[in-house]
Amino acid sequence: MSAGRVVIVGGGASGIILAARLLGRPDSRLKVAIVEPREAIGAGVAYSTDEPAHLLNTRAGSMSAYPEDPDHFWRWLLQSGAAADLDCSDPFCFVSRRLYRRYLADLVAPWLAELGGDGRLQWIQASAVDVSQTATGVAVALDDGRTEIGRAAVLATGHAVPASGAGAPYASAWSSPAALGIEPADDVLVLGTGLSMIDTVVALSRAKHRGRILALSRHGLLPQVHRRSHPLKLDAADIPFGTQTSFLLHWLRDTVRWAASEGRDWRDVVDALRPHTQTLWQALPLSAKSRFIRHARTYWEVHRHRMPPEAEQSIRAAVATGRLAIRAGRLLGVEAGEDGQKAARIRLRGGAEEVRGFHHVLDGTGILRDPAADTSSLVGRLVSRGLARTDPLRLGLDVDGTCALVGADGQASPRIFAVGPLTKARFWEITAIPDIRVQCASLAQTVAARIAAPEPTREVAAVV
Amino acid sequence: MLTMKGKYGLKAMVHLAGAPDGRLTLSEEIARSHSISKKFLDAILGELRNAGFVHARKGRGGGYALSRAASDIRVGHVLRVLDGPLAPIPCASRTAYRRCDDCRDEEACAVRLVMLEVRNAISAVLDNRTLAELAAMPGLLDEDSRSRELALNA
Ligand SMILES: Cc1cc2nc3c(=O)[nH]c(=O)nc-3n(C[C@H](O)[C@H](O)[C@H](O)COP(=O)(O)OP(=O)(O)OC[C@H]3O[C@@H](n4cnc5c(N)ncnc54)[C@H](O)[C@@H]3O)c2cc1C
Repeated sequence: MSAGRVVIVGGGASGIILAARLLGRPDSRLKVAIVEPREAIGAGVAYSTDEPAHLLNTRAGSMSAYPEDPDHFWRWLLQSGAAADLDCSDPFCFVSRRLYRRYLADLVAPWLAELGGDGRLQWIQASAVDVSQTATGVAVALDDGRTEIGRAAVLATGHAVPASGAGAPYASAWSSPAALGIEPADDVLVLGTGLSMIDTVVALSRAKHRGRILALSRHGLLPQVHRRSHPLKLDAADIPFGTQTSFLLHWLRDTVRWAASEGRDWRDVVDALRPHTQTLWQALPLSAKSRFIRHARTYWEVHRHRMPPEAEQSIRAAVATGRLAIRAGRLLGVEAGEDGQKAARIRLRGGAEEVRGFHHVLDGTGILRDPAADTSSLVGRLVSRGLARTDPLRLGLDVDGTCALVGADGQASPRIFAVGPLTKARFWEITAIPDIRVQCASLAQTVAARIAAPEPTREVAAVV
Repeated sequence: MLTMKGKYGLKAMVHLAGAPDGRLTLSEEIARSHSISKKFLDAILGELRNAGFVHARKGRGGGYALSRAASDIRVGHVLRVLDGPLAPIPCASRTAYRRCDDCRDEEACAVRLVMLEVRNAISAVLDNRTLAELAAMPGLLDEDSRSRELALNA
């Protein structure tokens, strides 16, 4: 029997799945507090959208919160009636992201008093501004002046979201066209040609938008589309760990070619790597990691993080009618133009510099950002206080193999942990649910064991 | 399967792991101390260079060095580059698979199934061992130092 309280900072997908794991342990009576300022738990950046055309970009069969029960989400879809008017007769279907938000809330309903649960889960609607450790526990300071205490804290604050709102250079592509004030005839420039751009175009299409849309990125590459895949079985013994990026990509291409000669699809190879990606990443020397990010990341991501077939149809239709152009190029600057328009200085690949007018410029460049750049954020503060540090490539916070936060002194914290995209530096592929849920399963075990220990562990492991 | 290429490549890497920091080693020297043909060794070192395990500098004062600390290089990682997927027999490999002719139904062949387990054990062992650990093993010292050691013990 273990009792005690865990404070989870952030109630997005990672925070919720971790809470469900902790609370669902058969042997435990521990309590969990989730600190989340948004209007809903389970929303986070990915599932707060109400736009029905914003689909999960992962098939329902991969979105279960529990790796040991992969059809859990799909069964929920069928049982809850949420999918009544959808074709979800098998788990290869792509449903609205807002449905996933409902699923996540349902996941913790048995413990949340507000939803009729037993009250072992408490949702505190506030922002955390600081976390400190004491000899026996943690104290999480909130923006409303209160302090939440527990035996352990987990940072689940997700992606470093680009500043939006007044003063931000570009509007966020994650807002709805209505919220952004986009009129049907407006011309729109979208930075990025990835999944966020697709969200924007899909939402604009539904809002009967007919203006021109230019989507711009360095390579002008669209995400690949999902098809039913039958992942190969690859063992660790098959994979060239520890090699330079170029060697690895060469191997990947060779393996795809070999798979094709066996009548298989490249997706079967890319998906076969999923269980090995974290090991692959960890075996790369730092120079290879940085080379990968500069030269190979885009190619990897368009193959790894694919779009649903429905989204592809919508994009193709927009391109076919000339409403949408997807181009490789760069935005050099934006100035105030005529009639309140924005004059964007752009250079398309192989072309000369030109100026084009748009009514809106949206930032859809995704989620790879320095987590500590905003020093007023919780993460920024923890870093400046030395309780946390960023990795050399500034992808995320430094954590040890058990997700314990590593401080400026190289010591792993005995009671502060991190989960989800914040731990990208160590695990790289840790942004999508199929990866996050595995991490949550093992972290729940670590945390439960840690707080069940009779005395706070004094000794801390040195991590260099 | 461990081929000559894998074996000599590993010996060369252990040799480089023993070189003082920042010093380049000529391939002649490695070839001589392990009785490998220099041509064969150069081909091996070229592959290790492509995979990012060694640095090479041509010309006077040139030679080879590990591209990162020996404690950061895993034995299994080096072998996969030289020999391909780790596997005790060809039909127990997934990507470099070759049929075992004596096996009528491979899906149900007990020998193959156990060999698939063996390969996982092989990678577990070899991926846990670093070059630094190998370089510290007395059995792998080059001939010179071994004879020195023998002389000392005599
Ligand atoms: C647009 C989009 C679509 C996606 N679609 C999919 C998909 O279909 N399938 C998939 O597998 N993955 C998808 N992803 C990947 C996605 O990263 C994860 O599924 C998920 O969002 C990660 O959740 P998280 O809780 O770690 O982070 P987030 O969603 O970023 O949530 C973090 C939460 O922490 C809160 N928070 C931050 N700071 C504080 C603080 N100081 N105090 C208190 N609370 C704080 C925030 O308000 C937020 O709610 C998508 C991502 C994006 C951006």
